[in-house]
Amino acid sequence: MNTIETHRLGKRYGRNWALRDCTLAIPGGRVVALIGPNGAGKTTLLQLAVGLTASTRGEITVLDGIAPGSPEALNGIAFVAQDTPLYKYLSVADTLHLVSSLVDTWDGPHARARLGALGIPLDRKVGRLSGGQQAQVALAVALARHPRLLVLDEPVAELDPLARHDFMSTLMEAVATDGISVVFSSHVLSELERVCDYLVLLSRGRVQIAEATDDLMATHRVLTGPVEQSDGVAQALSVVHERRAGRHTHLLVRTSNHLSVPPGWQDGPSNLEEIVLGYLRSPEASALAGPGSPTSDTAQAVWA
Amino acid sequence: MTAAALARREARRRLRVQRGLTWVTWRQHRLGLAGVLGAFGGLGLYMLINGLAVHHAFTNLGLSTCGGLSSAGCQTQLSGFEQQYSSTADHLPHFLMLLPGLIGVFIGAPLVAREFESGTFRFVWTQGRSRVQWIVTKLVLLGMVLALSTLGFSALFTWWYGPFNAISGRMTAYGAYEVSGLVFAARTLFGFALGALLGLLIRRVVPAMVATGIGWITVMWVTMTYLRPSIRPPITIIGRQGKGPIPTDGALPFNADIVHNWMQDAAGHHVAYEQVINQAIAANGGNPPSPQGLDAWMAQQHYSQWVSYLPNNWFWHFQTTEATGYFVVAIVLAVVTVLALRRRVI
Repeated sequence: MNTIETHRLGKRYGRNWALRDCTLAIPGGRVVALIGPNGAGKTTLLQLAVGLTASTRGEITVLDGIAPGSPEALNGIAFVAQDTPLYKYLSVADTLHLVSSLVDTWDGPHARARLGALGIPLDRKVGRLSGGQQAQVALAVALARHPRLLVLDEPVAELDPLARHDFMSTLMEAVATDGISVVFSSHVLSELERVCDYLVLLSRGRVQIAEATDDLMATHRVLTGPVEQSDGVAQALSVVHERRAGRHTHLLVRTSNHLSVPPGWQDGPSNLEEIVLGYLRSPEASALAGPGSPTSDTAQAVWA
Repeated sequence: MTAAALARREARRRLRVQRGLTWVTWRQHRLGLAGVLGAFGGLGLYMLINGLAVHHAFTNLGLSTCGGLSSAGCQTQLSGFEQQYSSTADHLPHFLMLLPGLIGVFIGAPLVAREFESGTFRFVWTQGRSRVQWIVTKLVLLGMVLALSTLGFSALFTWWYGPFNAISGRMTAYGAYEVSGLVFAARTLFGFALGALLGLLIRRVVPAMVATGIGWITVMWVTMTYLRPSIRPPITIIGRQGKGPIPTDGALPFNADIVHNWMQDAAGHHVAYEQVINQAIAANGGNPPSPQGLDAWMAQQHYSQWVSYLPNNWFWHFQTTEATGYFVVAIVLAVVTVLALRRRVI
């Protein structure tokens, strides 16, 4: 199952393209991190997926071919928007009642138990809860809908570190017990390895990476060697990013084969954060052509 | 499963969907509706108490038995009654006629604008119901409540205004006409739909409220000034020469609404009333002439008095025409709101 599938999807606001030629297929049963710098088009892509906005060109379907915004798609997808907007003047209990009035599937005891465990009083006005508690209410509401896909847009961006940790714990626990598919956007790179198993990197409105994290880590290496040999070595390899530090240069390399390391060079594994940073620093490195062309069968990105 | 069972299941689902949306509408707007109903309730209570006194005085003074309000036998009681009560009857409608605009500003404009301004549209339009279902439910339910409450209020006003209707009629622009009949309710629906659409387009509560207020007043003014006179032109009559500013020979119905009255000279040119009076004073050696003297002088100078008026029994013709116009525009605005929200690029 693909939770979100797009083909040459484009979205223009005025004269600016927020998203351009975006073709990707996000598999289900995964926790997918959608990352990228501010203005990369993350929110636009998610808003297209949940039916809040319409595309300028191209196609997008969700939950295996359903049109976003259709009744089936709306009921199958729970969305936690940026800054977790809720009605501040409603009590938590009324918020639950409101959502239960607007959905086909609702597990009230589930939501109340979750909020009870977090010590969030049901009779309190949402506006009087802390930011972290409001985010937890939004998450509890989304989970109580037992969605096929949970979409979260920068869910922890505004939270303090403790609330951020609590939120992600709740989310990961729910994923483990309910087995739902999750797509969340974030520009927080730390802890990515812990929370996601699939990664989509958007940059300047285009897809740069769309791949399982295991595959990403298996196909990316860091070569370290003397600066003066750097260009020669780089020529033979698919270099994502080159970073020079003093007399040494670090090459983030994409390769599926076993690397024959040139003499005087060291070959080391890379971690997710390094890989992502490498791609972010080289926005043009999206093509992934050459010797390191994609081998993973889960990498379904088509590069425009 | 049989077709009948499927149909039943679908019907139950629809019912559940509607019930849920109804609850959401009620929960989100009960405060606003309480404000509207509270205002109407308070004003209604005042009109009820005042109206009982007015009706009582009207009967007690013998105005219903003195043989016709225009008859000579009624004039003393009539002036006493008017002195005491007609100030409220004249002034209250000026204020009441603005209520539909206030409803548009406070109920209509925030309807969608508030969701945008607070960002909650991303919350409420991504649950299980489409934003089309959401807006249609809100427009229909709130529109019905507003229509019923304004119609009820207009009915109460009509009763309260009854004695004054007998005296001065209810065709008066900026007066009783605006609060009676169907126009008051239709104008409320128009204000509500205008506010909803402007809120959707502007997306900010206060600017949307301001725009709604300005738009509503502008449309009302244009309607009253340019469109209403074209429903049916007023009747113009020539008064008997020299009978004061208004002909009193019975050609002019007692409670008609006088749109215009003016003087004409022998050649048929309009002459200001003051100008005629000043000439009469000058002809009289600088002293104001007696009424008889003025009559005689005017007849001699071939001045004639003209009046155009709207008879009070045109009330329903005007009301249904104007209310239909407002109602149709309100429906169009509501439909545009729904379509715009469906297509809305967020």
